[in-house]
Amino acid sequence: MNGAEQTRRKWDRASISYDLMVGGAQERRWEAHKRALYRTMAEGRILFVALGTGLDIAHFPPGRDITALDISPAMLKRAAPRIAGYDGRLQALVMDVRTLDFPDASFDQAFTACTFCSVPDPVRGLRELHRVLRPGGTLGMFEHTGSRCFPFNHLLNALTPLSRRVGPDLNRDTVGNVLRAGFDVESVEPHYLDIVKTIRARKPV
Amino acid sequence: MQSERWFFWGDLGASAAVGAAMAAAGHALAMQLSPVWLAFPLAVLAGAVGGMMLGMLVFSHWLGGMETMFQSWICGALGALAGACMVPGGTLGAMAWGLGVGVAVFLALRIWNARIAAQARRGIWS
Repeated sequence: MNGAEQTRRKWDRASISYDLMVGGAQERRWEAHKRALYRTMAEGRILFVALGTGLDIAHFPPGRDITALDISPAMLKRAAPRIAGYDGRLQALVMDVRTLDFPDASFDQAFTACTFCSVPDPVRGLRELHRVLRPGGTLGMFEHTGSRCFPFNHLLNALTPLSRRVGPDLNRDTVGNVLRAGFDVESVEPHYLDIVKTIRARKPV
Repeated sequence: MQSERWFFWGDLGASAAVGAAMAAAGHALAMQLSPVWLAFPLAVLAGAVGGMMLGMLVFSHWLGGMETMFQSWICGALGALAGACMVPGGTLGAMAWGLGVGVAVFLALRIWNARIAAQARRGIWS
């Protein structure tokens, strides 16, 4: 079983309880930060990675042209009513972010939310986003990452082997990965102790 | 959409409550165990686990953010330690100390968070 298949199975399983685990207070806590990020969705072609059950669709500005991906067909099946309710063009596809089936420079903007804590080989996935973005295109991320703060850094490292079995890695250096993938990081806005942050980056012209 | 203020006061209340509850548990542990020094490491361990459980299973219902379990973890561990140290003060005295520890941890993490945010604004990201 390859990495993609393993990941798909994990998130297919997680889709059953995903809204219960993430959709309540968890979602409300980060809602304002996500809305602020999605407000930067402009006219043009937008790629949204890891749509999940579509909880974030409620925060998307209306009238946008969005192509959304998820590796899990079960997640997208659950997202179907939310996709249908979006006031704009929203197309959902089953796809692995590490092997995007789009030509180079296909999109003006890419967005992710709580995604790159779960993608195996995140730099490869980010390089794919770099490839499909046009030069000057922007990447907006709302992500859980590893922390520089003692003792959270050690705790996150210790918990990751467990958390990885059911969902995300907790100790990713996502800002470093964005830089390694070739983006220019424009801003990082930490929301909770260097663990939850909004990252804004741009593909150099 | 709930405001930042809601989460500020909610986190403060949760930290104080976790600190007080785990202080009571730490105090009870210190009253039962002999030799008493054994109570201190056990209180830290039990307080950390208990605090995290309280945070995740009770307070996360209103406050969300699984990440905040780390705050509960520290409040629980230090609250229980304070409770174990307060054997002469009785359960209420221990809980008062635990509450204080919870508030102190909350404020320390807020200050820490503000420092990290200020660093990020200056371009220090890693």
